[in-house]
Amino acid sequence: MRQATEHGPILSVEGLTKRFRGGTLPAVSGLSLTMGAGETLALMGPSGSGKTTTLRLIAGFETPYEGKVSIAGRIVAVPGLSVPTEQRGLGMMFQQFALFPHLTVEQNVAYGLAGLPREEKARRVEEELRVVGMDDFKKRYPRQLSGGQQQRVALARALAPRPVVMLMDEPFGSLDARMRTEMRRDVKAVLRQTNTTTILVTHDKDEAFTLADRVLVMKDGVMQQLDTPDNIYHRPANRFVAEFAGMADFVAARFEDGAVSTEVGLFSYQGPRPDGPFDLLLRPDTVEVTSYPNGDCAITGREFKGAINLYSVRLPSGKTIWSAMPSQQVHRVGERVKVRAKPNSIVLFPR
Amino acid sequence: MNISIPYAIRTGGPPLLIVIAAAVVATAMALPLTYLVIRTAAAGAVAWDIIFQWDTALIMGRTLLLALAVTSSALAIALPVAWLTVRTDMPGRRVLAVATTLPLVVPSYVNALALVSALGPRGILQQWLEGPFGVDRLPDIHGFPGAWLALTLSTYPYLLLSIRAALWGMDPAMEEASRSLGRNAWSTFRSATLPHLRPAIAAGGLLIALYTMGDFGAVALMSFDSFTRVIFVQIESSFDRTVATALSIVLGLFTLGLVVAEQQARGRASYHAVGLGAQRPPLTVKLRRLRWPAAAFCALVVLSALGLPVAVLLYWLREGLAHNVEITFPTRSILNGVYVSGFAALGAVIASAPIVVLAVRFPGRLARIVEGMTWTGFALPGIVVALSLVFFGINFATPLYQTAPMLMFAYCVLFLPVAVGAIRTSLLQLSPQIEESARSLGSAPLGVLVRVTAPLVWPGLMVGAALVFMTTMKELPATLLLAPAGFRTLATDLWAASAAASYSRAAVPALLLILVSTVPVAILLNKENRGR
Repeated sequence: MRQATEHGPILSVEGLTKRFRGGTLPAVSGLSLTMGAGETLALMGPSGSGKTTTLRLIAGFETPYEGKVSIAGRIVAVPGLSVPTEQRGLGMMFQQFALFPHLTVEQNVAYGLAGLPREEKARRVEEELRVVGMDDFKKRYPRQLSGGQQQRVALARALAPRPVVMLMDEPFGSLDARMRTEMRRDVKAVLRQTNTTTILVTHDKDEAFTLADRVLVMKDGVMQQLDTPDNIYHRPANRFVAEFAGMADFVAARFEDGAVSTEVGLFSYQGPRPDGPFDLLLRPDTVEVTSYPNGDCAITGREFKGAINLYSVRLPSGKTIWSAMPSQQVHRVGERVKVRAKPNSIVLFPR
Repeated sequence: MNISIPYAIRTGGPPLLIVIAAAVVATAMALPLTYLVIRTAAAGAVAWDIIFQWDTALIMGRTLLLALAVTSSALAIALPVAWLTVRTDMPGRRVLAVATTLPLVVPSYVNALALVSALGPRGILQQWLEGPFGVDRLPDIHGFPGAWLALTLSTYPYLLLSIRAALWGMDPAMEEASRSLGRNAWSTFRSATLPHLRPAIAAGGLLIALYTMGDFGAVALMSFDSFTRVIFVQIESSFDRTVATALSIVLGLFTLGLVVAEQQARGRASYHAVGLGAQRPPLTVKLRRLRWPAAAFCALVVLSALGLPVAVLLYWLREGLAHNVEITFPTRSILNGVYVSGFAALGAVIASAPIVVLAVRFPGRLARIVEGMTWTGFALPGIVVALSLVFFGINFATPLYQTAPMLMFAYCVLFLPVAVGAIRTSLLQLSPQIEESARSLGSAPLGVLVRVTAPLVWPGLMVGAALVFMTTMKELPATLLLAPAGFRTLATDLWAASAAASYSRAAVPALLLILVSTVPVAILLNKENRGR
């Protein structure tokens, strides 16, 4: 994780709040964050969580109700005053790519380079198209390109003016599953190579985890957690984040001799103790099952996912939890098993 | 080896019945132009001489100049008005958005009548100025300036509607992308928005150019010698119709060529919004201190195009009543109009059904040709269609000549595209899957048509019929040439009264025509609203 450099943060947002006319609850409420150079941050949440509004506030398409936005040390938005989008030094990528249909690939990429002399412009266009691997398609029109190719051009177009911050609004949403994986990898490589500070809006945890250095999870306009992908997955701040970041089970737990005791094992724990009854978070990939004819747990279902087998297992208490095992390890439904959990970290939530 | 499957029928391709019906309609629609071409060819060298005369070139030049001037000035009004009412924080923009399209209710010749009677010799303005200032002459509004002004005020809403639809259909991300790439609001409008509007501007501009070249009423009232007026004068004043025929051919081929060229151009550059279209509101431009001047501009447009003609007509009506001019309510003319327009609407809707089914459900070469043939009515000026039917009636269908059925046929040729357009839209919205699911549930094709398709397409049929009805009520040149002797409609009443410079008597049919036109305009605006 890169933090603010000695030059100060590239982007800083303080107490940002947005209310829409007619809305009772704010769309975004008291959001703060800072980003260092070259960092990629994912704004993640379900639809209506305020992630796109946050992006549009940073872009300058919306004005804040409270709070302020600074880009590269310059304040660009406070309530009532706003620097126009075109003067903020941004690059943007849209879900439908928003390429100009009347311009060729080359002209699209040159669009943001209006002030440059002709040779310099041509050189930059050439360079950006080479970075995204589209230099053979200069004279084509957007409608003659596939979805993935259009996305590459959109990326080149956004990068060409050397933006201070790149904003991406669900950029892979309109691609099919295979193309999406490929494009994620390529876009990540280009952003790394160009050391571009990027904010990505997504509702897809895989996308956020693959691309981002840090992930900001939002719900109802409020930030739930801002952390590395690993921590969002393994150390979620609350049940909402735990469930949004992946498959999660919560098993009843209590303290016993300074350790956390559950029906799937006893775990040492040093952290603060919650008041009242609480649960332990389990991820399927930290729950192991092994054949055990005399066991008191049973397989109740199996979903074959290719690389893994996803089993549902009934515990002695009657509770059912998930377990992810390698594809070769096959159990039939009804088989007696032994369950062992090896959580990365002990995460407890009050019940 | 012969394979036989019990109960199987040959599939693929449209049903024969529909193809035959569509072919009959298309042939009938293409009849006028074909006949005109044959007549001209028969006239031989004489016709060629007329076509290549210097005078013909002059008429052509005048007509084109008028079309160009009207189209450009309509664009100069429609583009800013469309943008201001859709994309800015102009005060009262919702009300102005509706108000600026309302001038559609004023037919061009009513606008011309109002202008002539207000600004012409012995008009309102001159009479006012004569008292205190002794002004007995004003610069004459007749001719080019009057025709230009009247046609601009009546036609700019066509461009306004098409530009506005394009603005609404534009993906807001286009403009946002432009802004994020460092372009300000004005540069974004020029380099991202305007190119997106180009097809809409071309389509709306073509409509206005065609309207101007084919318009008869306004240019006749303004005594501007464009094609239609010269043709009409020739028909009325001379027994030899070769000149009128030759000129009609030139005009007809020209307008037809224009439509074909536009279709070709559109085929090549079809770039619409890709994807889901506007899901969130587009960016609103803050006008700051230009807010009120912008609203004033839009209000001025409404005032000149709608307020002025209505006020002028009401003035003449009051004058007439005050000076005991004999003004009667034109009951007879209204009934006549309802009678011919009603049958025209019915005929147009029935005739358009096979065309639409073929074009929507069985697209292909055949459908394209058939549909293309019906569009001649859209491209050909009313006077050209009327003239060709005059000849046809005299030579081949004497019993039908100057009868109501002949007139109704002319209306059908002219306004079939209006019906096709409306019905086509509603059938396009009906997914074939709905019909297929009815088939899968055991309904026979005819049963599906009666129980599923017809009820769903019904509103479209009604809209098509209403539009044809109202458009027919206003029609002037074909009615003048083809109506039975003594057969009067509101349009011909107005024509007769204004020819006699009896403005008070012209005011009643003019106001009634405006009233009649409110219905199709209401339908149009309602459709625009639902389209958002």
